Amino acid sequence: MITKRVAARPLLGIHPALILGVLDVIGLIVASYLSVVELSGNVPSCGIITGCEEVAKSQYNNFLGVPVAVFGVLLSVVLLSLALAWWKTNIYGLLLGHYALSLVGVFFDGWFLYLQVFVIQAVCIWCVTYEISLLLRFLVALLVYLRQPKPEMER
Amino acid sequence: MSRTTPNPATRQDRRKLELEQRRDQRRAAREKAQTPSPLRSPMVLITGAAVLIGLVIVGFMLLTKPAAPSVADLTPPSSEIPFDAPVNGRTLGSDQAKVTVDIWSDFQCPACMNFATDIEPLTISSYVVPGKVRLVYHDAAFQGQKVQRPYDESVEPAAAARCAADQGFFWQMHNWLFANWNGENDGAFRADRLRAIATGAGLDLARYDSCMAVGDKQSAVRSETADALTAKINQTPTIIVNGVTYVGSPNNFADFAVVLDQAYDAAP
Repeated sequence: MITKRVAARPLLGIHPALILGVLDVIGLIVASYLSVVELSGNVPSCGIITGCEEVAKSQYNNFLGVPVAVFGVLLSVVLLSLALAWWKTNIYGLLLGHYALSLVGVFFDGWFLYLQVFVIQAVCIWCVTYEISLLLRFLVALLVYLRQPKPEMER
Repeated sequence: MSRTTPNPATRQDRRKLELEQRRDQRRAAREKAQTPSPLRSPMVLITGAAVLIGLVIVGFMLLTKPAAPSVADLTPPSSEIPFDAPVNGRTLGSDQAKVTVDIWSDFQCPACMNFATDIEPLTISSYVVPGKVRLVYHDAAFQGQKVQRPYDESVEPAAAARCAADQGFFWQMHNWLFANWNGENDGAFRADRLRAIATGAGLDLARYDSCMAVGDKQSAVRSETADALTAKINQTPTIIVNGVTYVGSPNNFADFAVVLDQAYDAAP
C-alpha cells in the first residue's frame, strides 16, 4: 500500500508537498543558522528579545556532544527530501514518512520547550520558531493525510 | 411487522435450510476475517512507531541528563591577572586611566562568562596594563531570582568574590568563577564548590569561611543588584564606557577595542 502512487489532492490550489517543502526550508534555515553559530563557538543573537544566550550556553543544548540544532538540520533535510520526492512521484508512503518523522521531531521539540520554560527558564526565539515550523509540518502532513484519497487496502 | 421463518414441511426441506444457514455463517465468518482491522492500517502503525521512537529519545535524554559538576571537577582559568595591573578591590587598573569601564555582571550569566573569558583578558593586556582603561566590577545578580530558592546561586558567588576582594584576590576569584560556570541554578556554585573554587583562586579558607558566614557580603550584593534595577540596568552584562551604556557582550574583542579607542580619544 505505501509504495502505491496516489494523485495528491491539492491544498490551497497547489500540491501539498510544496507547502510541506516551504515549512521544511524555513526550519532548515533556522536550524542551519543556530548550528553554524553554535559550532563556531558563538551564541545566537536574539535581538531585543533575551534568552538565546542562556539556552545556547545551557548544558541541555547538547545531545551526545552535538548541538541539538545540528539534529534539527538533519531532520529538516530528510523531511525536505521526502516532501520533494512525494511531489515528484506521488508515492503515498513518502507522505506517511514525512508525517511520522515530523511526529518524532514534535516529541523532541516538546521536551526541549519544556526544558527552556521550566528548567533553563529562558526561551530562545530561534528555537521556538523551529518548534512552531515543525509542529506546522506535522499538522499539515496529518491534514493532508486525512484529505488524501487512500490507496486501496491490500487483502 | 415481524418476519417469520417459513416452517419447512418435510425433512428434506429442513436439511436444505440447515445447509443454507451453515453456508451463510461460513461466508460471514470468512468476510469478517478478510476485513482489515483499523489497528493494522499503515497510518496507525506508523503513528505508533513514531510515538514510541519519540518517547525513547526523550527517555534517553532524561537518563543522560548531565549531573551537577562535582567539587573535584574544577577548571583553572585560561588567563591570569597580570602582576603589573593595579588592583583595588573590585577595580582593576590605574586611577589615572582616561577610560573607566563599569561592568554590571552576574557570575551565572552565560553572556557575562563569554565577556569575561573571551574579551576581558585581551582588554586587560591591551588597555588596562598600559594604563588606558580601568575596569570596575558591579553586581547585577539577577539569575538566581528565577528559581526563588533560599540558596541564591547568583548572590553567593558574588558574595564569595567580595570576600576574595577583602583578601586582594577579587579578579583571581572572578576568573575562577567564570572558568567554572556550568549552567544556571544547577549546582555549579553551591557552597562546597564555591569553597573549592576559592581554594583554587588562592584564598585563605579560614578567612573566606568566616566572611561568607557573616552575611553582610550577600546583603551588599542584593543592595547593589537593587541599585542596578533602579538605574534600569536589567540585562547582563551591561557595560558602561565613560558613561555610555552598552547592553550585552560585544561580539568580539575587535568590536570592543573600537569602543575603547573612541572613548580614549574623546576623553579630556
